[in-house]
Amino acid sequence: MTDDKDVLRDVWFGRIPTCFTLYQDEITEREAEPYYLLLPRVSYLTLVTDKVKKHFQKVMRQEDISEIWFEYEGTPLKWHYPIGLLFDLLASSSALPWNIIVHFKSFPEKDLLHCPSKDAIEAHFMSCMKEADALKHKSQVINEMQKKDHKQLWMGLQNDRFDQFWAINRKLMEYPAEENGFRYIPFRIYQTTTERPFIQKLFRPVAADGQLHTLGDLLREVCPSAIAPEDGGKKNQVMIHGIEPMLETPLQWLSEHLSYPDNFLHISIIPQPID
Amino acid sequence: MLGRPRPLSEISSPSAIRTGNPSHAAAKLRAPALLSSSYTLPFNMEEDEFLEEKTFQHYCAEFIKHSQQIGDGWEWKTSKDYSDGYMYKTCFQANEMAGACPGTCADVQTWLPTEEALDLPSDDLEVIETQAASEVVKYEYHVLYSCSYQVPVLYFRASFLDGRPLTLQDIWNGVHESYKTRPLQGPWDTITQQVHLEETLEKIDIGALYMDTERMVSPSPVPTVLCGMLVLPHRCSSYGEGYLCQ
Repeated sequence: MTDDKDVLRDVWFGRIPTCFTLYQDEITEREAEPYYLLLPRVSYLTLVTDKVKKHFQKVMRQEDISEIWFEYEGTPLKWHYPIGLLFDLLASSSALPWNIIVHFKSFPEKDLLHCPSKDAIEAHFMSCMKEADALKHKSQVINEMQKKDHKQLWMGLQNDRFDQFWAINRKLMEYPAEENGFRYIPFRIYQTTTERPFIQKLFRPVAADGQLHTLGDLLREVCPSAIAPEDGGKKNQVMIHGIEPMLETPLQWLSEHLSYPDNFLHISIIPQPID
Repeated sequence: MLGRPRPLSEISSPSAIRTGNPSHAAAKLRAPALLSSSYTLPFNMEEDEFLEEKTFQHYCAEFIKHSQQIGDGWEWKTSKDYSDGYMYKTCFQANEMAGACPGTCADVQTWLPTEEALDLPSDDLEVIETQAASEVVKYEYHVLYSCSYQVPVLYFRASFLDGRPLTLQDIWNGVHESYKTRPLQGPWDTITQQVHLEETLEKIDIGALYMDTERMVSPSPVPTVLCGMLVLPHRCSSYGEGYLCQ
């Protein structure tokens, strides 16, 4: 029987084989070869693609290069969403490798945040962590940490150091002995078929009678259309980190083991693929 | 193949909303009238550490009623599919260079130089007016309820009249002198970009307002009024960094 701790490692070290191709209208001095990379599911595009940038900039002139951005099948990819979420939501039913187009021109101002530096990624990441702890512990745990602890969380993510990250993150996964879980569960539910970018609400992991709420309970409460069969029983997939957890799984367990490093459960609702 | 994702370019979302200390623009709102109204909150803040969403909505209604009385331009916007909404206001202002005094939030018309004042031939004036128009900045303010932090949150968006957003650097530079220390020390802690759940679409970034509570002095009408009405002044210190902002 797998130890629960192994799940943490499996989540952290999840990778998506990706093929980066330069957009055909970019101006190059010679032909640009595609670049292959295993992307960490738990990280962010602009944090892990320095090599991609260098590879393509080698065949371009300086004046033709401005801010890099990525696109999949016409959709600009939001760097501030974790990579695994982007893949599950947009490309999980397609064959591997994940084919991403690289752009250096015409940054889509209306669709994407700029990413001027690694500081921007760190600020966004820490902001998410703080919001997650506000929900779990009224911010008490994260506020009690020192600045160097916050830095260690960020450095752990940036340098792909599981032990370094979890040495601090484990404190954010604790809860008082008299409780059965966190105050509220940090989660976001994403669907491409709705206008709203994601659903986020207050939801307790434990019911008034002490029963643990499940993933199914959460979905029935905040996103019932997602799991109710719509026309002729066409079901959706409920996906986290590329897998479909059973709807009976306790939400508290999911929050402790399947959260992303930002401590949020990022859940994708996608149409069942047509085989 | 799963349903083709709707290209985001179809979405007519305006450009980035950024967060931060709105003091320099906020000073342009007619603060004294708002500050001087006496709002007595019926509940005891000692007991209610957090603000309930219904209470927030109730006080927003009061705030907007008063805003209508003094012609201050705040409105309430509701979302189609859910019960929540937010307060909304637009404001125009001359774009400041770093270190300059903030201009007055006024109509574009009154800001543009008159022919007599410039004493120039009319085609020169056209050139100047074009330049001047591009320097005018449009600010949009949104006040919404954060269920994560259970407090009101202020977002703002700054763009030129042609729709170009101000860069984060412009925003940091535009913070009023008396508030500048904090952003200079830690710009990313003070004003950041986040994503706002808007009623229709995936808007772009907004962020949480950092309320520098030690500096809650009078010429900062918007934060104070929000604090006064929605949060209560003497409890502002408890709504410091841990609650608001990131």
